[in-house]
Amino acid sequence: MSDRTVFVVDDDDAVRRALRFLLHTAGHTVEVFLSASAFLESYEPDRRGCLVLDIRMPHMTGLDLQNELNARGWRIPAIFITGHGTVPIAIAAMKAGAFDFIEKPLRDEALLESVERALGWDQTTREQHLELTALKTRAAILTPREREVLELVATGGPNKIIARRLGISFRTVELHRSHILEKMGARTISELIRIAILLQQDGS
Amino acid sequence: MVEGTMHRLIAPMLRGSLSRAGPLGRRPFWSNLATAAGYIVAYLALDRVSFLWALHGVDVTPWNPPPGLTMTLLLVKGLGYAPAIVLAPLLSSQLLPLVHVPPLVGMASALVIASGYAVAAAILRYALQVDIRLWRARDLALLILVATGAAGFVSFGFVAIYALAGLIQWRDTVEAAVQLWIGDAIGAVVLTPALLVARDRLRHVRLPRGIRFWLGALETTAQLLSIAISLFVIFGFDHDSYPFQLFYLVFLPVVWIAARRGLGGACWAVLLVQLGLIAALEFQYKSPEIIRTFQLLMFAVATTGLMLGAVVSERQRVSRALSDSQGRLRAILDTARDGVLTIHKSGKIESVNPAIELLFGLPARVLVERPVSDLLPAGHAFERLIWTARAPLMRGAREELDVRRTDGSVVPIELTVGQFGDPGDEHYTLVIRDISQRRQAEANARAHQLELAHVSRVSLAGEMASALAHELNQPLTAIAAYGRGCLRLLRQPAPEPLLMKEGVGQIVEQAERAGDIISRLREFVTAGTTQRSVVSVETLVEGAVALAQIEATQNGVEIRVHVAPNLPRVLADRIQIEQVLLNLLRNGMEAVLTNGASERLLSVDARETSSQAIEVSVADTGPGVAKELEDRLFEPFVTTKPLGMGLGLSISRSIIEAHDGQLRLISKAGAGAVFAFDLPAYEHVRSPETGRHE
Repeated sequence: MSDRTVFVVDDDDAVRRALRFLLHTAGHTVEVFLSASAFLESYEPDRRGCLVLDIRMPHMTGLDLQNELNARGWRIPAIFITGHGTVPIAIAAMKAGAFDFIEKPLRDEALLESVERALGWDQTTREQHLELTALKTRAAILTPREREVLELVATGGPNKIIARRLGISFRTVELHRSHILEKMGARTISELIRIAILLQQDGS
Repeated sequence: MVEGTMHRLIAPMLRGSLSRAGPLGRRPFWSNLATAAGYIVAYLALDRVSFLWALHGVDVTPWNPPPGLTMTLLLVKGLGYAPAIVLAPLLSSQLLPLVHVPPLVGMASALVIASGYAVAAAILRYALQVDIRLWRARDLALLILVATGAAGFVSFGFVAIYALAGLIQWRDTVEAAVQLWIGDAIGAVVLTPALLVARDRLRHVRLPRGIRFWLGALETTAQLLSIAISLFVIFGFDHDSYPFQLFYLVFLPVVWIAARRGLGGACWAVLLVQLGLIAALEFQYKSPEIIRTFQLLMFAVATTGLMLGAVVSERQRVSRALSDSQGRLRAILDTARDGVLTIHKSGKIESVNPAIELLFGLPARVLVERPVSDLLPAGHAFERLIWTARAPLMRGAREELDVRRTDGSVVPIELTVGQFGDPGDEHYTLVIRDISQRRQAEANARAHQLELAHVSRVSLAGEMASALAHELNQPLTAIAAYGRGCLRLLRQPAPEPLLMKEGVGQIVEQAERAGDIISRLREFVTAGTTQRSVVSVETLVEGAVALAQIEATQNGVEIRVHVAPNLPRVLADRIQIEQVLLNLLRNGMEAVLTNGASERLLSVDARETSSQAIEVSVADTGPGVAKELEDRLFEPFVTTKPLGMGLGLSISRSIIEAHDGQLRLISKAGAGAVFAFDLPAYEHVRSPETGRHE
């Protein structure tokens, strides 16, 4: 739990401290920042957590921050707090890739639930990201023929069909598949199929 | 300047109309003489006609009108006619010898009669201030009382003198005196009021044109005849001695004509006399010595006649000019809508014009002779008015007062005081203007301005609604978050007391913050009557900046405030001045934001200028005011904002002007706008607070 931090950015003293209080009582680790630029300066992208920020701040607005995060390729989920008359800006922020927005006055369930989801999403995406990176590294050592076989495995076709497609013998397909299983670190065929789909979705 | 002229013009008129027919006042001597002669003739005639019989040697009548005639003459013409009223009874006692009276006794009794009625007339006129027009019942009652008393005094004195002289027996004196008293008293009571009332009527009557013409023709004929008769008397008879002895007779027609007709008549009279003289000499005296003597005498007649004529003509012209100017003034005063009254240095009202009667709802005859302080508000001393008129620097200065009318209503007036008259005999003029309409208009304008300012404040608050909502949401958000946090803590088996304390403490603090914002806003948009109080400039600046700060913070605009230390306080409507400042700050903010300037800064400065005034300025780092807009900036409905009504600056200016200050743009185009206004310092004593620096 303690490796996940909720980062709060708000220029208003009272709101900032209140959010810290609330999140703290809900058991979160909280770090607070006076402004978007202060957050950008001290944040390291490998830190897990989520961002809670007021959309309306002097100098650098919430939307500016979201764009900056996108530009830097930092994928921390951001939850925007919007007040009266700022919903259109919040929608723009969502289009820019924000995770969620919550309207003021705050309902704590909504905020805490959203924070939970954001932290979960951060967790998942980070894990998926790590797995994909590992799979990609492994897929790099496959031979071209093995890659072809893997692609066809992903479509769910039986070995007989794959052999006919590639014009090779059934035995050869089986041999390739055992090599692929070994190289990709998969134990079962169904696991291999999931890996194949993941890699395909990533566009490789 | 105009008022000074007015005073100079009014002065002679007043002295004319207000002087009480002084002894042998201003009328020519011959006119007085004629009046006296007419009186004596009338006296003798009445005396003779009313005589019935002699009782105990005294002329006794049941109705003795001569005392009535005497009283009338004295009351109308004054005590200057004393010689005539002594002469009349004296002549009566000598010329109408029904009872023979020695001259000494006649003289003594005449003196008694004259002194008795003279004293009575003096008492009536000067001590009792009786109006001889007898407009009031009081005047008539006093006249009857005093005349009867005087008749008693005269009767007893008269009879006593006769008794002393041995003309009547002592035992008969009382009866004779009582008889005489009754006769004299009834004569005075019946005749005096009749004559006084008739005189008042006759004064306003003019003879018809035809009669006046024939009277004129008759006079001319008589004058021509008198010349002919005088020449005939001089030359018509064969005199023993030199004819020069009678030559003086020719002066009489010449003087008569010159006195009546002025220079024009004198020329013709002299010419006619000369022609007549030449003609007469042709027939009678041929000796050159005689002719020379006559011509020298003629020279004297001509010179005297012409000079007299010239003087009379001049007098007539002057008198006509005077009466013209009096008429003009009367017309001006009668039509003037301002009230004009003149007062004597004693403080008594001497004259009033119709506007004054209308203003106070009292007729002139009631106002005249009353002390002017009756009309002025209590405690407003007449001496102060006089001082205003005398002090050269104060001349023409106006003063506003509230006076009370007889029906109890209060009228606001504007008063100007002037002075005229010789030193020692000063008179004062008061020009009074009813300013209730002006006051009403001022009050209406004030109410209107107040309403407009309120509307503008509400719309200003509306423009700031979004910023205010955000500002309110902040404490509410904080409160909700702390509250939820506390609830969550309470659900734990062992809530941490320090954390709970922090949460609840913050809830209270933030609720108060929200309350402050709301109450400040509510105070700002209240309609409110204008309420001026003595406030420090710092309070005014703080109030406005607190409201402007909300938007400024949200837009990243910095507001710097510098209030000089030890500023004197000002008398101002706090809300209205805050409104002006807020207007200027919001304008500045918009200018700074449209500019996209790198520096977003507003500076509020308050300092004392040399002339006992406080200047407050608001400067921005925006693009400044466009040259072509500068002149029309403060006009209503002039705006550069897409959603603005263009009322902010115009209302701000009227607010500042209502505070005796000035709102102006003092910057150059392109250098950021600087608006400044000043407020007069209310006190010269320094306020103990120190300045604020941010």
